[in-house]
Amino acid sequence: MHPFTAALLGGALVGLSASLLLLLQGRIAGISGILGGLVPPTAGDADWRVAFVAGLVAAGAMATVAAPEAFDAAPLRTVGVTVFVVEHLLGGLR
Amino acid sequence: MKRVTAFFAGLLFGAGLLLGGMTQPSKVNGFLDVMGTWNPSLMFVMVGGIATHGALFRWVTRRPSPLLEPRFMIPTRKDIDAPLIVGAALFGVGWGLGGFCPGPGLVSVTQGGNALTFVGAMMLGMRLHSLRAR
Repeated sequence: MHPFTAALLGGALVGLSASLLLLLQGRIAGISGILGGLVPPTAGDADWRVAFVAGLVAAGAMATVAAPEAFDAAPLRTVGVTVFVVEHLLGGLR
Repeated sequence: MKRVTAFFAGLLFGAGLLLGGMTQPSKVNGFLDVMGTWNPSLMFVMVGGIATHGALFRWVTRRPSPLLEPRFMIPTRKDIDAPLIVGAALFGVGWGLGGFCPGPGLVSVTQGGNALTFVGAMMLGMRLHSLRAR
């Protein structure tokens, strides 16, 4: 599939999910808002937030097995740079 | 019931982010590198999302109430103030630095590494903000 087609379809799924949450619970599917409502959690309002976040994490866990190409193969930036710096520091000491 | 439907909505949202390429920081960097080798593919995620939700939003909000709750919880503020602009800019800085925005960060969290660090830092930021807002 062309990356643009995949992106368009992916966006449609995200839009569908947001519409579903609106239809069922009358909520806006903003991730920072949903997660932010759990830090700290409020009694009676936490269950659906935890469930939604669990759904996101579960989708990723399934993709790890079923579609690993959905993630970058090599860790980008921070970790890579840290390893690079540490290796060179150690290299300098040897 | 709400737990099941919210879980399913999260699953669908995550599948969309994965299919759209939002969980690949290399693509995010390519998309934000407007002055360099720009990769516009993530723009289509936005187009697909806005088109779908834009159409369905009108249809859903014509109802008097949602199916499982007594009323809709939709923000009513329309003003653009300093916290909104500063917050949006900080969000963009975080997206560019980390290669993740909140949804894809959570979807990638089982990969460990950078995504896990990102989510930890994000929740720390949320906690600090909630302390400040009190």
